[in-house]
Amino acid sequence: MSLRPYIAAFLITSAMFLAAFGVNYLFDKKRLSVLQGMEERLALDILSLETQFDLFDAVSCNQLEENNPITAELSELGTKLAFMEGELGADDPRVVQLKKTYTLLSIKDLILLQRVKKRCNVGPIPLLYFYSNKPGACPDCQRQGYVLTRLARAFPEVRIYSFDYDLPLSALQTLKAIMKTSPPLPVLQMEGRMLHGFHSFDDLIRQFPSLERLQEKHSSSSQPYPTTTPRKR
Amino acid sequence: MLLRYSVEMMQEVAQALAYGALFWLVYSGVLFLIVLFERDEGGRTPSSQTPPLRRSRLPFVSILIPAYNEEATIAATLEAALAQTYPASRFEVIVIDDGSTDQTAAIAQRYAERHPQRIRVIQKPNGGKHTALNAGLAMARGTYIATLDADSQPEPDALAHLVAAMETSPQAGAATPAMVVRSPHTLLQHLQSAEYLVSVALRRAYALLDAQYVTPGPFSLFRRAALDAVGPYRSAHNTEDLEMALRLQRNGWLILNVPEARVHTTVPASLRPLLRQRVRWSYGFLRNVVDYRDLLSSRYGHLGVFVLPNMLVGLAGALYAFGYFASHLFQSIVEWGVRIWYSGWSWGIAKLDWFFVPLNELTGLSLTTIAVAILLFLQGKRLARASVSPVGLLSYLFLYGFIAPLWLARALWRVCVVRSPTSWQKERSVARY
Repeated sequence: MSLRPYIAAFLITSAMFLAAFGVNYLFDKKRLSVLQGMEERLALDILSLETQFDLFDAVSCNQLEENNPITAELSELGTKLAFMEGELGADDPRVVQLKKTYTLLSIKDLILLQRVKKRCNVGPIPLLYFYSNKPGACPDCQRQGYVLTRLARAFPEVRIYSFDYDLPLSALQTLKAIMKTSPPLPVLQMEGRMLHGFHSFDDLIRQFPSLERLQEKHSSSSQPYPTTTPRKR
Repeated sequence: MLLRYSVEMMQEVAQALAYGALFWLVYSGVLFLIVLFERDEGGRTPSSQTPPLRRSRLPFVSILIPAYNEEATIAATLEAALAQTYPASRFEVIVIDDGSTDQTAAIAQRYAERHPQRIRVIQKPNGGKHTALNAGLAMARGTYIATLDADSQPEPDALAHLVAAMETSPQAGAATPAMVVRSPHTLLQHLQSAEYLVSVALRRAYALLDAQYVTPGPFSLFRRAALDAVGPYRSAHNTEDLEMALRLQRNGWLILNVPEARVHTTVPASLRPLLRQRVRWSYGFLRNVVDYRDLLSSRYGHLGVFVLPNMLVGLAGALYAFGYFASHLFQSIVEWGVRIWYSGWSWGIAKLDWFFVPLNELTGLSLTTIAVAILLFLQGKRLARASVSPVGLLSYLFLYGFIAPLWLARALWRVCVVRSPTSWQKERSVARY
């Protein structure tokens, strides 16, 4: 009985599997490099905006707002990062690294937004969302994320900042300390108010007066909710 | 923390097992493709010409047709038997009516009256297919015995091809043809037509490894001396065709495969009869392998070392892979439903961006498995010189993996837990092959 076909089949099958794993590895690498590129672009955008802010006296509030290209890109980055988290796992060091950068950029954008708001009294309303990917740590986070996607679509005036509560990043720890954020998760913070646990779309509108006002505004203009790129946690 | 690690560990193990199952499926497929290319004259296309047989030395053949409630198909089967190019004077047809309650016997009798020299009809109380075959054997005069299901129609040159192959190989105890699905209409029949072509390729590979473990009921040819040597048909868990092949293997007889000989068989049109048929086959296979466990040895060459163990491992692997994929699919559907429920539908969710193409290790390996299945299908298509609609191939590639585990799991359940036998009569009273 010849063993030749068995050995040949083993070698061919192994090669096919290695090729499948290899293609997948290259594909993931390409996706991660796309994310990295987005982050670099975003960092540059934020730096540009900060510089504009420093030159505030020379720039009008309107100009500052019109020149802000960050929102859409930050949102797309968040969506893609969440996808990669699903593909490679939340613990993957490459994902964690990209997520740290994303979180830093988000915090910088938040600070900038608050500064613009304070000086010009314009710009979107920030909503902070803290979640966890740890198994069993936050069973409602997925649902809450979907509700926030709907919220972002319904109210483009609201900018949602999603933060992984467990991400080991000192800037995030500081933000949590300043905001006095504490479990149980999910946590939603808006205009000084903090909500724990899952909240439906209608519930959020009831809980946050700004959202209620925005809804009334949309209703009175009798326009359907405008759509925008969905924002993922 | 402990819970987290336990969950992660279980997920890792489940994933590794799924990869292992896919590796095994691909490995066995690649092995059979290598055998087909290496040993089958570089993938030659079988000749459609009838082999030359010297008329003066033609052996006499008895075609046995066991029938139970086959009034819808028996006439077509008898017509196909009579239309054989093998000389009419050198074969007889024996219909064994196994206590049918419909017009099967009457139809067969009418044919016997029209062809008294060529067709005989035996009527007996219902006792199962093996008793019908044994009753036919007792009356048969042939040097070769062909068994033909009452719902299957061999092509005119099929018998001549099988006899020619047997004549050139004195150690051969049996020869099997290429089976193709007759006039598929329903989606399930189209699916089976593709599945049967894959089986044509696999059966050819098994034969090249001298490891065929079934002499299909629809049409097979046996050397009378081999049947006399190994003894009459047995109930064999209602899979007497499988048991006979294992018995021939155990006694050292070769089983040839002759893809030039084609037989068209009727297959179940809906899920219920298909499940009943396949549970009987799978159950019979498992029970017979247990009965013939001594064959799982290197003494029986490729049959004992790879083909039979592969069927067992493949069955477990297919069930596991199905469970793994089904749970993932279910999870994805639930997640998608939850997402739509809470965030509402938006085209933004399904936006076209290469970034979101779900290409990962599992999809890569699944595509590899599909590629191997397509290659086997093409081999079967070449060997059987048959065509299958694109619907057949697509449904086979994407539905078969979800349907086959239903009968595999049921058969396994019956073997391991319930231990209830299957019924050929019940199956045939409800639906034909």
